[in-house]
Amino acid sequence: MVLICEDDPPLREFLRVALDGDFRFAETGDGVEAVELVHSLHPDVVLLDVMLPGQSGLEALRMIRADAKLDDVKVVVMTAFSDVRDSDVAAAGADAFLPKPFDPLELVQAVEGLLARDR
Amino acid sequence: LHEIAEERFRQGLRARQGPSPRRAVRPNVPLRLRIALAGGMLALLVSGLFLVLVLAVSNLRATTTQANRSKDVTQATLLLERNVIDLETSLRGYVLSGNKRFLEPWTKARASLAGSIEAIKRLTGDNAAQKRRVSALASSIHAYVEDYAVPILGIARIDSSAARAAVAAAEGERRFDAIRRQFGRILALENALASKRVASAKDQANRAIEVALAALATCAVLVVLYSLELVVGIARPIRRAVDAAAQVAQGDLAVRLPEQGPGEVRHLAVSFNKMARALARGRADLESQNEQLLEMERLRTELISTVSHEARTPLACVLGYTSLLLTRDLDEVQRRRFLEIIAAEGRRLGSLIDDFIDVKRIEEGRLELHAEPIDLGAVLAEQVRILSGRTERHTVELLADDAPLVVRGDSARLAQVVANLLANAVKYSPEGGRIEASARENGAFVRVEVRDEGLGIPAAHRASVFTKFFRGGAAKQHGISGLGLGLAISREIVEAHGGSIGFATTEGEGSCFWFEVPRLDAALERSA
Repeated sequence: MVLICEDDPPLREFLRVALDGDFRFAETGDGVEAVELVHSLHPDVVLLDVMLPGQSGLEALRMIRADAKLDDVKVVVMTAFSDVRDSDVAAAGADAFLPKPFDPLELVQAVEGLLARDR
Repeated sequence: LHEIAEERFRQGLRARQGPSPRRAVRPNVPLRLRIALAGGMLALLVSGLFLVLVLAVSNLRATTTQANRSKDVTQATLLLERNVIDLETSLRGYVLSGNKRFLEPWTKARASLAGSIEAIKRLTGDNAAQKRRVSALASSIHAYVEDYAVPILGIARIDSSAARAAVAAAEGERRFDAIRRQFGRILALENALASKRVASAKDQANRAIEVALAALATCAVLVVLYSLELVVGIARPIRRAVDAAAQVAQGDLAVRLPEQGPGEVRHLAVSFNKMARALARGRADLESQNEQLLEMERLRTELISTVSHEARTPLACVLGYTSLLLTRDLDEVQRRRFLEIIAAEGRRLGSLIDDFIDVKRIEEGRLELHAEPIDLGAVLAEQVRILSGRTERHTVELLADDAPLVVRGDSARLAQVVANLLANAVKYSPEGGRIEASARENGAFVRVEVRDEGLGIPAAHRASVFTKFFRGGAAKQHGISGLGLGLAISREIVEAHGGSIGFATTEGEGSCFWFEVPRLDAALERSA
């Protein structure tokens, strides 16, 4: 299952379409709700935007990584901010980093790569 | 801004200086004149004192000389007495013995008699009483020699027994005793004079010592006073100035010197204070400029980051959907929907650029309005309808009069204001909730209100809400997007319509933003 955490509705739809029905989806546009959903749904992959209402994606990520039960949840961080660095994202515990804008193919490769590594 | 700050600073300065009663300053004699005057006066006093001292000493010397003269008088008198005794003794010896050898002292004494008398007369010339006595003595001696001794000697040569009888008749003894009494009186008087002169000399000496001591003490006091004046008047203020300068050097520009003291010392303090004030003002100016620059730099950095984020989000949609259209097999419905999204996101990018251009226009003072009679109620209703389709979490409620609310204005610009207020209401109530939009007549104005149940605005940020590029703490904390331009532009638009804009807010409970523009008179509309 893929949890999409993105506050911009057109982008949310784009992510869903780009991953093309191979997955089950859950969606939220709020940083606090994102953490709650990770706990309750235990998704395989989380697509996490940095700029989220409620709390930022990086804060949500830190909360997810603080819980050992969620270690197998793969997180892909996405952002349109130019001053968010790879190292910051990696330090917060992300498995992959996609600076916006990105091609649907990059997204698919990133998600499938993470899932393959898992198996 | 810089000029305003400077003007405020000056006003503050004036207020502080105010009408405070000016310190009573003594007539301000320049320092160099004061030093010269004090030095001159000191020199004059010291010279005067020494003059008095010299006079006292020379007086003492004169008195001492007089005392010494008394000794000479006494000596001369005793010598003369010896002479007279020699005369009498020698005369008696010769007359009684008849031996001529006894006459040798007579001859010698008689020869020196005139000189001895002359010497005493000379020495006693300055004292009338003594002079009189000496004259009397001289005539007595003269009478003794001429009237008695010489005739006796004559008789002795002719008739020695007759001469012996004459001597025995004691005429000579009487005369001689009288002369000796005169000597006694002269010596007594001279003694009295001498002791008087010695006493006077002692007095003079004592007075000279007293005068010298007084002069010394006065000089010492004057020198001490003079150096005290130098210390208090110059050395201490200079010390203060040195300390203050050191403090300034260490960066303490608040230090001030007391503006007092003679001439140059006061000038030094006044100039020093002027310098310190100028330095402090300069530093304050620099600090405020630096703060402004830092703030501008911070805003600029933040703006670049915000702008790039705001531009990349729609760009990500445009590029992402374009890529999907190019690479995927999509049915007609999906293709159409994606193209619509691409168009909408393109418009979003466009409006971002429009906001920037609006800001630039406003800054250049050329915001153009295409004014015409419009129904502000209808404008509001249209924007509410558009917004309702875009938000799922909020319920948007429209409260408006049925009758048209006609104003003269630019419908696109006023729609921009309404849309901005509505968008803010949505953005700043991230939990969702009710948004209430209303329009109604309010006196000569039409008033539009947008009320939300969102975050509200903390007191510290209220003053900056309409500042361009300002985004409240909530925007960052809650990840609310935007450039911070909407309200700045809205205010310019409303004010360009002759209206006003404002808000009421309670942190944690929500905000109510409103604006008013003048109502177009119905009569005016009919005649138009």
